[in-house]
Amino acid sequence: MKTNNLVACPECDALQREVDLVPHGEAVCMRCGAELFRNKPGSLDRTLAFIIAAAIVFVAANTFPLMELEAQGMRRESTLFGTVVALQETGWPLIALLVLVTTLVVPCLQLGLALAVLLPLKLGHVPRALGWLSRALDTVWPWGMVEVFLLGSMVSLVKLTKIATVSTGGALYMLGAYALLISAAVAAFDSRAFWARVDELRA
Amino acid sequence: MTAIAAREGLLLCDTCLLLNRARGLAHPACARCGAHLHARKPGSLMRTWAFLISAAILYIPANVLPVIESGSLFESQSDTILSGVFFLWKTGSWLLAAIVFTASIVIPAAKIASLAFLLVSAQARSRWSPLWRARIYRATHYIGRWSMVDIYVGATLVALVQLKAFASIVPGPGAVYFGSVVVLTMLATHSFDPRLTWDSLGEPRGG
Repeated sequence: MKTNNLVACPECDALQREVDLVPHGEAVCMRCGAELFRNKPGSLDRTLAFIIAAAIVFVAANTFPLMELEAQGMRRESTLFGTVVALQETGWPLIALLVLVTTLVVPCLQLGLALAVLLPLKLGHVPRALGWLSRALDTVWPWGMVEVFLLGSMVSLVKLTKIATVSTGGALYMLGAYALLISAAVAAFDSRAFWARVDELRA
Repeated sequence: MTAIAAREGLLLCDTCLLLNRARGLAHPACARCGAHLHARKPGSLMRTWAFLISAAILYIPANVLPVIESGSLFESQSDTILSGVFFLWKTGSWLLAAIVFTASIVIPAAKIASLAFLLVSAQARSRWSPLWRARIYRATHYIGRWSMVDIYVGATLVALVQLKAFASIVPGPGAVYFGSVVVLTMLATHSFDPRLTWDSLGEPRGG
């Protein structure tokens, strides 16, 4: 059996013939309905652009306050990293670690690893540790939870408005922009085109 | 009948989706990206059960123990996840109450139940609607992360409300259990191989 025009569904392992797609067309597994691949024109350039924009916004988000609270003449500001520090200081290192990993470490790894595979490819060469970098990216990706953090921040803002004067800081909006840009990058990424480009450069 | 990659001696690479020929090697690697190849995730059922059972046990202290303890000069109060939802409801934030209730209580329980169902039906080689089981798996995969929301509610409250003697908020012991439940259910979801759902199809009965 020839394998070069066959694809296997990653969710049910059904073998099927690879089909040509019109731009923006989608191939779906005939057995389980999982998306097999999608034709996304200009995918690599657009993904790279969204990742670069997300990186800039993420750095900025860490220099502004998240929220501000005023009660009884006292004021307090919080930042993303300050949240981790406060958890550590109140004696909850495990929760501090969980927040640190999911909202700071993993987003930095996502951005760094994505740039490490996409930028060289854009410049016309295949990074040396491409396999390793791609697997690292796949492993860390689900653990970045900035969008969930944003929802949590909104809930706590609403809770606090009942007892004190609170206001939103710039970081909240920037994290919102970051979450949108990261999902735009995911939506723009075409894994088939990415690996086809790798094959092309190696040939 | 549908041809199955594993039965044709073909291995799909998880990383770059290249179809490789198995060639009978003990430790086959992907020709394009070097990833270890395996027809199904190794030890998938065992690992998923281990994570899932741990999550189910920790789900109890996560819901019974307080996740937030707030104190001021005059009074102190501890809140479990459920009493936090009640507070939002009482003060008129119905939408947020519904979101937190769904994300923190319904989704973790539903995730544990549906993964247990997927595991049992895969082990029993059930042929009951694999299409529906595939949909259930996809749903647990996409929704799972949102359960973390209550951890972030607590974290952002703790960061902001530290006004010395006047008022302070600290996490309660339930928070660690709750965070563990979310992490463990996510690990369980990633360990489960959705292809197992389809493997009993097209086999001779009893096979």
